[in-house]
Order: sequence, then C-alpha cells, then structure tokens
Amino acid sequence: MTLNRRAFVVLFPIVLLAHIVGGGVGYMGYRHALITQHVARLQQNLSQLQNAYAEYASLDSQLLYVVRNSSAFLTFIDESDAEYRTRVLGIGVQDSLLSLVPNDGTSVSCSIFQSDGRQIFYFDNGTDPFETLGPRQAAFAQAVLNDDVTSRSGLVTEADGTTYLVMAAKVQARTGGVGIAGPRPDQSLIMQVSVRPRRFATIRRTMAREYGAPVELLAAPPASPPELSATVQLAVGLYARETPSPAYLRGPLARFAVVTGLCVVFLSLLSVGMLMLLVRRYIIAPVEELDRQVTAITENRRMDIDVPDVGEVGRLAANVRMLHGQLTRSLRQVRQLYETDSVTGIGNRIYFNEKLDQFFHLSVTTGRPLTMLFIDLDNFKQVNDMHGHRTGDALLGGVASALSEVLQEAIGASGTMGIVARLSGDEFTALILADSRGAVIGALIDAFLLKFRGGFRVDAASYPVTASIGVAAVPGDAETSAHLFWCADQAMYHAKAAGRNTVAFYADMPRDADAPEWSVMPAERGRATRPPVRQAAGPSG
Amino acid sequence: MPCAAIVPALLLSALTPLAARASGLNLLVWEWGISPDVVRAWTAMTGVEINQIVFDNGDRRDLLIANVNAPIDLAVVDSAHVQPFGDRGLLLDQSGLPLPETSRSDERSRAMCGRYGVPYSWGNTGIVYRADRLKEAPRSWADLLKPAPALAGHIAMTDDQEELLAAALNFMGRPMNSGDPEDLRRAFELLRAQAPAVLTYGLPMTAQQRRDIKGRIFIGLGATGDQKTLNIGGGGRENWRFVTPREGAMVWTDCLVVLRRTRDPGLAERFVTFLAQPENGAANAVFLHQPPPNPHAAALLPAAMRDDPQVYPPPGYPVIYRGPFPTDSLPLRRRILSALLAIHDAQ
Repeated sequence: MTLNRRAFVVLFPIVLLAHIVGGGVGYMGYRHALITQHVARLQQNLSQLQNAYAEYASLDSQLLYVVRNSSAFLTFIDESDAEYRTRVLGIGVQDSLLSLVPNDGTSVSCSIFQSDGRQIFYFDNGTDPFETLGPRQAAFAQAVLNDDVTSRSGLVTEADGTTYLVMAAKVQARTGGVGIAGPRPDQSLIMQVSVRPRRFATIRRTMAREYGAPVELLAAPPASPPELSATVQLAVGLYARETPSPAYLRGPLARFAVVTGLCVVFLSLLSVGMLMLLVRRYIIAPVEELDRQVTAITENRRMDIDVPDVGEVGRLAANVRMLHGQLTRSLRQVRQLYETDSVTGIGNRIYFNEKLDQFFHLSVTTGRPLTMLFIDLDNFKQVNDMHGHRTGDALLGGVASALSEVLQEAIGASGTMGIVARLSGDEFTALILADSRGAVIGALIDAFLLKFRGGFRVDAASYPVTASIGVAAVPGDAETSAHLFWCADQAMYHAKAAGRNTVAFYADMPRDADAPEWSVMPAERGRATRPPVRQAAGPSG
Repeated sequence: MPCAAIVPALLLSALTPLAARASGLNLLVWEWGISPDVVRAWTAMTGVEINQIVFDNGDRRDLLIANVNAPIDLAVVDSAHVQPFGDRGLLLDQSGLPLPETSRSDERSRAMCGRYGVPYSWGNTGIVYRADRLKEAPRSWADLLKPAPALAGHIAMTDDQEELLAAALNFMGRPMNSGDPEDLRRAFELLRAQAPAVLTYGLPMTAQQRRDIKGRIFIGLGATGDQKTLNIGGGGRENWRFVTPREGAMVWTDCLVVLRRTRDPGLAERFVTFLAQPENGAANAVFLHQPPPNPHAAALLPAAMRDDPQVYPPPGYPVIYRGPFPTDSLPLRRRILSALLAIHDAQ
C-alpha cells in the first residue's frame, strides 16, 4: 500500500466522521431553530385566532347586553299573549338586534326560550330564511336553563360543521333582570345570541389546511404538549391548540438533511483533498524523495543521499545516508578482501576475471588494443622447498611489487590503463590497454625481466628464479576474453619450452598440428568464457 | 302646494316630544297620506293642529301603535291589522260613533275595518313605473318580478314583507296572505332571483327622495295613489303611472283608528267624523288618488277620476280582498325580507 493510500485510508474516515458529527449537530440546530420559528408563527396565528374570537365574543356580549336591556325586548318578554307578541312585538326585538350588527356580513341570530324550554323567538340575519336554530345551539340554551348558572358562552359546532360563538343568559321574566341561578327557575327566560365567527372559522380553516391538522378546542391547557405545538386561551375554560401534522416539517427537514449530507460529503472530500495535499507536500513527498534516492543508490544511479532538512524525515535521510555510507565502506572492504590476494596484496584471480571481462569489453567497444601477459616463475618450487613457505611467500610478494612497479612505470607516461594480479601459485598476470608490440608492453617486459637478472632479490637475499612470459592480444589473437587467457597461457608455455626466462607472443607461435587448439562447443561457451578459478593461490611448481 | 318643505317637517315631527304637540292631534299616517287642504280646513274650523307622524312600513307602524309611550292619538291602519289592536284594548271602539248616513262607508269597507276602525281609503297593490322610461306599460307582475335586462338596477321593491310577498304570491296564483311554508319558499326563490336587478328595497316614493337613488327608479312595487306622490317631485311632468297587474287587484282598506291612550278621545273622534264627511272624503280621495270608501264621497269625484284605471281597478280584473295574515307565518315572512336585504347588501 502506498503512502498516499495509507494517508487517505487514515484521513478520510476521521474527516468524514468529523463532518458527519458536524452535520448532525448542524441538523439538530436547524431543527431546533425551525421548530422555534414555527412555534412563534403558530403563536402568531393563534393570536389572530384569539383576537378574532375576542372580537366575536365582544360582539356577542354587546348584542346580548343591549338587546336584553332594550324596551322592545322588555315589552316582548312582558307580553303574555303569544299571538300579539309575535305579530306586533317581535319586530322590535329584531330591530334592536339589527341596529347593532355590523353591516359586514356577520351572521347573527337571536333566540328566546321560555322557562319551560319552548322557543318563543328566533331571528337571524342570514340569507336563508328557512334556517332554524341548530339543535346543538338549542341544546346549549337548554343546558343553561337547566344548569346552575346565570350565563354561559362557548363555541358550538353544528352537525354540518358550522361553528357558532354562542352566549346564553338567564333573564328574569317581566323585569328583564339577571336571571336566577339554578335549574329551571320558573321566572327565568333564556336569551341566546349566536354569532357565526367567519373570520375565526376562516383562520381555523386556513391553519388546518396549512398545518395539516385541525385547531383543537380544549377545555384545559395540555399538560405535556408536543415540541411543535402552541396553545392560546380563548376564554375561561376554552383553549385553542394547533399541533401541526408530523409531515409538516418533514419536507424542509428532509431538504436540509439532503443538503447537509451533500455538504458533509463535499466538505469531507475537500478537507481530505487539502489534507492530502499538505500531507503529500510535507510528509509523503520527502519520504518519496528519500525512497527515490535510496532506489537510485540501489540501482547505482547515484552515490549519495541528500539530507533535506531537520525533522524526522531529515533524520531518517541522515540515518539512511550514514547507513548507506557504512554499508558502502563495508562492501568496499569486503570487495577488496574478496578481490585481493592475501599473500601478495595485489588482485587475485577473481579480481583478474572481472577486470579481464571489463577490459575486453572496453577494447571491443572502443577498438583500443588489449594485451595480456601470463607470467609463470621459473624454479620457484625449489625456493619454496629450500627456504620454506615463508620465504616463498616473501618472494611472491616481491615479485608482485616488482610487477606493479614496472606496470606503473610503463603506463605512467602513456596514461593508459592496466592491472596486475596473482592467478595462482607462482602465476601472475598483467592486463594493459595497449598494443602488444608497442613501446609500453615492450618496456614493461624488459623492465620486469631485468628484475630477475642475477636472481631475484628479496630483503637483501637473492633467489635463482626467473619468469616465463606469454603474451596474447586483441585484436589479433583472441575473440573472447577466455580465448585471450588461453592464448596467453599457451604463449607462456611456449616461453617455458623455449628455455624459460623469456617472453613468447602467441601471435609468433608456430601452428603445430599437435598443439592443443582453442575450441569451445557453443553450449559450453558461456562457461568457457570465464577461466576456471583455482582455489589455491599459494606457490606451486 | 309646498310639498318639498313639508316632508322634512313631518319627519321631524315624529321625534318631537309629546309636550310640544299637546295642543293638537297626533296622526300616524303614510307619508303624503292625507290632504293638506283637508287638514287646513280642520284646523281652520277647530283651531286644532294635526301633527302627522309618518311611516312607510306596516310592521314599524304597528310597533309604534303598540308602544304605549308613543304619543299617538289617531292612526291610519290597514284593515287586516285593526282587530288585534282592538282586541288588545289599544283602540277605542268606533262602532258607536254617530256618523250620518252620508258619512258612512260601504258595508264591505266597514266590515273590513270592524268595530275599531272607520274606513279611510282603499286601493290595491300594483306597479308604479315611469312612462318616459318604459316603452310599454307593464301589465303583469312578471314585468316587475322577472324584469327585462334593461330594468336591472332600476327597480324599487318595498321593504314591507306583506306587500312584497303578496306580489310574489299573487304572481304565483297563491293567496297573498298564505302561511304555507312551501308557498313562501317559492315566493322567496322568485324574489331572490329578482334581487340582483333590484336597486333598493323601500317604497318607491320614499326611496325616490334619497339623493343616490333619485331618478334611477323606473319601476317599482306600489299602491294606488303612489304615482301621485312620485310625480310631486317631477317638476310638473307626470311621468309616473300606476298599473294594476292582470293577475288581480289585491284590495286593501285603510282604517282610521283612535288609540285608547289619546288624551282627548272626543277631539279625536271629531276629527274622524270630519274626515268621514263626503266633501272631505272626496277632497282627500282626489289628493290621494285613491277611491274613497264612502259612496257619497265617490259620487263627488270628477268623472275622469272615477273612470281612471289608476284609481279604480280595471273592470274584469280579479279582485282579491286583503285578509289577516297567519301569525305563525310572520317570523318567516320577516326573515324572508331580512334575507333578501342581506342578499342585496352582499351584492
């Protein structure tokens, strides 16, 4: 998993959770504000309803008061002749009533009931002259007549759904005074005025339509009203409560939830994007850069690591750099030990093989000539046997030093490249990017052979050893590095056969029918291209 | 005749306290319901003023009569309303009033007025219209109750429920004083359909005096003699006509009654006797453009008036005499009128 993905997997759930919590808190806050706002609006609407009720209640009581105190009414109730009362006096009560009714379409009715419950007068100013007092309004009057009250007002809704604001009062027959409380006093009449509160009904209807639930009329305030609900008192023992249907706020809340959800997702993505940008810039990018540099080092495309700055990544880079340095040094030491001959201190067979391939490739690709010297010490075994291995090893070290020295002298002036190595026992070699017949090679061979003249000297002692040198070169002698090795080896044997302490060029060697020929089967060429490594590097015969 | 000046004076007189009129007789009467010449003659002869208290609605007139505090000595009352007041003890019995033979009305009129009233005038309910506005004279209640579109907004109907329903019931072929709720329902439907075309509910002769109505009434519900009052303000042009609908002449008889509460019954009865004299009856009939109930007075009328179909119902037309209205139908009748007013106001 990449660092980017890790960062995303870590950040996104946290950011999303934070935004969901934030969105949830926002939703709850919005819901609370919405409910508060709608409760205030409900209160406002109910206040209008309350005002409308108060206006109609006021009209009701004015009508009741004025009519019951009018001479027409007093004359009417004082009249015992029912026919005369109806024929002549009824119109007076009607006029008293109409003189007070506002000319705005307000529907009003007036009824008078005798103490025996019989209705003796009814008039309304409506447009249907055949309409009679509704049974529930009549029952309201009867209840006042029967109950121990002097007056009562309230809302009465008839079966057809029409609501009336009704006010009924007991009136003393003959005198018109306030009626006697108590059930059915013989001397009391009931005068009842009903107003059809159109505005009140319209507000109720409008509220019911708007809120999806009717305005309830209650005898007592609700003990534990719902969250979205409002109540007003219309009169003593009469309350109006509106509780909107559950669906009323569902729409706006659902819309807000959707918008909030989208915002949560959008803001989460935006926040994660910004965080990812910052994390990438300040955390991932330095780590990636370190990774790139380490990768480049492992792929040998760069040598060192840049330490960006202080901080964890800087310290990590510094540590990696330090580790890399230690590893490089250790590797160099290992490599040096691996490629160095422990007896002579010059390159061993492994080193030689690597350099042979390298120089051969360089020669092939650049066209520069490559010459290999295969050197074998003559009579070294006798020295070993006579003076011991310690002396032998010292002699081998002296030869290696001499070889290195003459090589450096030979190539020093020309500026070409060359190496020396001990192949095994008393076998040495030198590889020089130079023409085998040129001055460099010639000077090197001469200077080297000169070291053996009169015995080879080590620590003031002289030992009777000489060197046989085989020379092979490309282009000319060999097609592969192994072939070159083989050619030099053959030339060295030719030099030994020619009497030792001499040099032989493979190119000058006669092509003897009995001499072994370089041949490698195609299937074995890969293996044959690299000469076998001899394990023992000590002096041998 | 200083008619225009008299009207507000008469209207004000209804509000004048009793003490201010203690010297005269207070007469409750239709507007323009008595000849000023006859009144002047009475005053000249007796020195007693006649204070007229006018009404234009039978129900309100009855209320005034019933109100014992209302200072009324005499009243002109429709014959159908006399008996209840008499029975109630509000009227003086006139059956013993010593009237000479020449002052006595015909038997039918006397029977209609009963013992508590003396026949004063008679006539019938019909249609008043402006001859200069209508191309053809109306002939049926249909011309008023189902008016042509051109008459919409030019109709005046009375606000007296008896007259209003009488016209509708008569048009429907039903008794004018029917108490049958079904009759009244149909009559109401008829009048409700007419309501959008009605300019005002009020006697044409009263409504005509309103500034916002004046000149806009072309046709209306009226009674014999109303054309005379309507023409008073016409500047000499007698454009108003009265016509009896062909459905029939609904005859009413107005009676002169003396209220028991009068402070001077003798003087009041003297005035009744004075008006019953043929000469005064004839003079009053000429003024009212209404037939006198006294045949001796009728004989004194100009021949043109005796033959005038605006005064006497045209021969051959059905005659329906007004009778008492069932008491139990009165609340409904009054509510029909109230409903029509409410419907009209809502328009």
